[in-house]
Amino acid sequence: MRRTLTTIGISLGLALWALGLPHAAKAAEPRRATVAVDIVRASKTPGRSDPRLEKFRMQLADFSFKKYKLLDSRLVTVEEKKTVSIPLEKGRKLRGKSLDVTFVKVEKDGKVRLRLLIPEVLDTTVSLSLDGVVILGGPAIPSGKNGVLFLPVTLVNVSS
Amino acid sequence: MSHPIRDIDERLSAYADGELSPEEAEDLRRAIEGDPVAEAILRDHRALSEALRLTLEEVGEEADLSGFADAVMARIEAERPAPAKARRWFEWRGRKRAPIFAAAAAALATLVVVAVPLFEEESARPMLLAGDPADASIVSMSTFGGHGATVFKTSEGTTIIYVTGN
Repeated sequence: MRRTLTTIGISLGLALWALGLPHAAKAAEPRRATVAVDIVRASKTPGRSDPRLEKFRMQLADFSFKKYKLLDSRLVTVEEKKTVSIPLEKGRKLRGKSLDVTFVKVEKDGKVRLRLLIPEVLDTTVSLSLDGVVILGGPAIPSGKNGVLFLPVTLVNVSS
Repeated sequence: MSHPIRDIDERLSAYADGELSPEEAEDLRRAIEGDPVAEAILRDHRALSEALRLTLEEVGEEADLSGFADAVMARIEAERPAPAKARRWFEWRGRKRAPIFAAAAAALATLVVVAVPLFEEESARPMLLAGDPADASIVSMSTFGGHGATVFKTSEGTTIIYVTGN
């Protein structure tokens, strides 16, 4: 009987110790989200669209714009509760402005909550699953004559 | 209580969508003539209306749901956990090791009771298909100055935050 109780005690101890390991490791290393931000200029001038925009071809096909051009493409890694600022220098009228990406948290359903801020224009918080995309765009962030900027924001990866 | 800026914005939106009566439309056209701000807002509304119109037109034309149910079922089958083999394992050991089984069972029970809630947050992965509208949602949104924003989804389910204003 004593031997059985000892065995149970050791087993419980080992189980609890094993449970603590991943939490200790997680406490030492913050979660990181990898986010892709593309800067796309859409215009009504007829012409060929940038072949690198194939992944967004279907999403942007709904718009009446004739041509899309990829001005810049950024891949940033942001730690949980931290912010990374992406300069939007390529969008002429936005020179001096930025898109600030904050990794707010990982939600219970596994989605990642990101705050996207374009100072003096837009402040939004979105919830994205892996490979989820939200596109910021419109006349308020113009780029040249008869053009509009679109900023597809894609959640590429989350490290746990 | 009416808000003059909001009122004019709503009237411009209605004008862009052709929802005003001919008299109201003419009055508004005269009122904004030579006003660069109002004309810019009107251009924004027209651009948005056109984008939304095309979206709605293309939803019906491009929707192809053939194989959708099969794809969903394939994902469910792929992610379904393998059947448990615990029963066979216990049979193999027999009764002589009962104390060890008791200890292992207690440890396992502890692991399940304590670990499941702890790991639930990390292990829960939503099952989503490419282009599923549920892969992005807006938690909050605000704009600055004279900017406005409209959220809509394209025919592919992509969430667009369309920002208007100068």
